[in-house]
Amino acid sequence: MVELKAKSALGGQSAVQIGAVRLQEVEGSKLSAIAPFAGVDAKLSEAMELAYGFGFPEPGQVLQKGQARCVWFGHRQALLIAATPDETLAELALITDQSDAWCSVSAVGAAAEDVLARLCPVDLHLRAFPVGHTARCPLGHINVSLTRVAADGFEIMAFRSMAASLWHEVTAAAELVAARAALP
Amino acid sequence: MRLTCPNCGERDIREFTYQGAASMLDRPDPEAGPEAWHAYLHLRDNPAGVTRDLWHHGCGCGAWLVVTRDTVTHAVHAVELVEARDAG
Repeated sequence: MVELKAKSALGGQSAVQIGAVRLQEVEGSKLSAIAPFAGVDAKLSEAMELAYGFGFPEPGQVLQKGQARCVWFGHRQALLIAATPDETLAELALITDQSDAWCSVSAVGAAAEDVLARLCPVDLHLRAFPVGHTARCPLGHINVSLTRVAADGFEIMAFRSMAASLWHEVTAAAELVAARAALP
Repeated sequence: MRLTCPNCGERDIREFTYQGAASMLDRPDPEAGPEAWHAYLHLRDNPAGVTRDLWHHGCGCGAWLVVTRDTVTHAVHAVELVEARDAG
């Protein structure tokens, strides 16, 4: 048997602190996309409620209970994070394993909002984009899922193939924000 | 130009792709005959005024949208999900 080594999307990229933002790869969560079949939305929400303690998220919503998290991920789509898809869901929705298909980066710090505001054309103010809110939007030219995890923290998810570009975009923007902050 | 996606809210035009006239949703019966199919495939109105077309929110939620807009004033009157139209 060949011994295969698991490698993260950014291949062991260490965390960096640039000015007032810390950028770090988030690794290893199990990810499953849930796409409800037509006409069974209410049943699916009930089944999810029983299995995880939360239903199917509304657009822009993130639901969490313990470790398990469910992020709205697009039109009639949600991403279940850090939980095993329950058997009862299989009849109500199309479930696909997305683990390893996405690259996830966290941006935490006082400058996180300013850094992302340079890249994403959405209103990131805390009152418009509160903790637990999520959006699908562009980051530069990359289609990402952007979630606010804390007042000063975001998690950005992009296709794994875009990992290096995502890292380049956020680090470059962070350096510009830091340079501006350093001006006398 | 900005479109208000029913899922995502008001977003910039760069996130959307134009597909064509919303009449593409009204597919004729397979047996409707060559005239109806010719009209469906090839004939388009080009109104000075209110028009309806299909847009895809590809760099967002991925939904297909029917946009009602005015080609004279550039006003966007409505943005609906294609599914909402199907249901109604």
